[in-house]
Amino acid sequence: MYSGFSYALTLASLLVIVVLFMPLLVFTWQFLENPACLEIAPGGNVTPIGDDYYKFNITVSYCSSVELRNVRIRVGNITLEFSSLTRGNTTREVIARQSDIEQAPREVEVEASIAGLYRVGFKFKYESRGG
Amino acid sequence: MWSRVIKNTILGVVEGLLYYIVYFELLPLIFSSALGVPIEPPPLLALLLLGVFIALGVISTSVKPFIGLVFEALSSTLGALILLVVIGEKLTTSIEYGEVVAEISFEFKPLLLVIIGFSVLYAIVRCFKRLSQLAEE
Repeated sequence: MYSGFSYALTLASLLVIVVLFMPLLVFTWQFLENPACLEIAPGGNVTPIGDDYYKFNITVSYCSSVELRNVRIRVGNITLEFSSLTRGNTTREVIARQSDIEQAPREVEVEASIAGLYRVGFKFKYESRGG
Repeated sequence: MWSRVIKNTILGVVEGLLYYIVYFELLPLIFSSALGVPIEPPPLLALLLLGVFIALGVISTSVKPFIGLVFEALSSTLGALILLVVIGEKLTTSIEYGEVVAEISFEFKPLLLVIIGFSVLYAIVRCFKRLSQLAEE
């Protein structure tokens, strides 16, 4: 009786572990294949609003088939939040002070969870940008 | 009598080695190679754990079966603890492409907890299996 139960348990545990491991594995492989899988770039026209504030777009391009959830992106003093990020481009309108956009940021930080399960953090350092 | 002692010792060493390989070598290796994240536990810890696993294995096969069950359960608990210490921490790797250096850090806690949960369940089933074998004898 116990032998049958332990076989069933082994099978069930393998199945659950494979299902849980898959999003992590797919995400990592796709990211290692293409390190530029997650890119954050400013786009569109920079429109002045008021004395010191400007409006522009930030586009996040993401290549993986695994959804990222609870995404928080910090570019300099600008923080963007997305409840989820799927493959493709996502554009968000941003309002920032002039001092925040005068210099290209040397670091971009991204916090997210892979398929809502595993916390992942990215820190992109741009070597050529002055600061 | 001596042949029984030697047989139990060999069985215990094999059991300890199996626990060590599965929890300290195999599972971290699977994580490390599949995810491209280096996992390097200190070599001194490896030696210490190998000794502890073998000692627990030898004790569990050498003492009376009812007491042996406790030491078997201890091996499983130690394995779970190792997983939490070695892989449960935030693991970091970095990739360089073009003029960008990307530092990536992962946390695997949910998957680890599932693995630990199943290994605890498996240990309980093994205990009941041995208890029922003892009752039949």
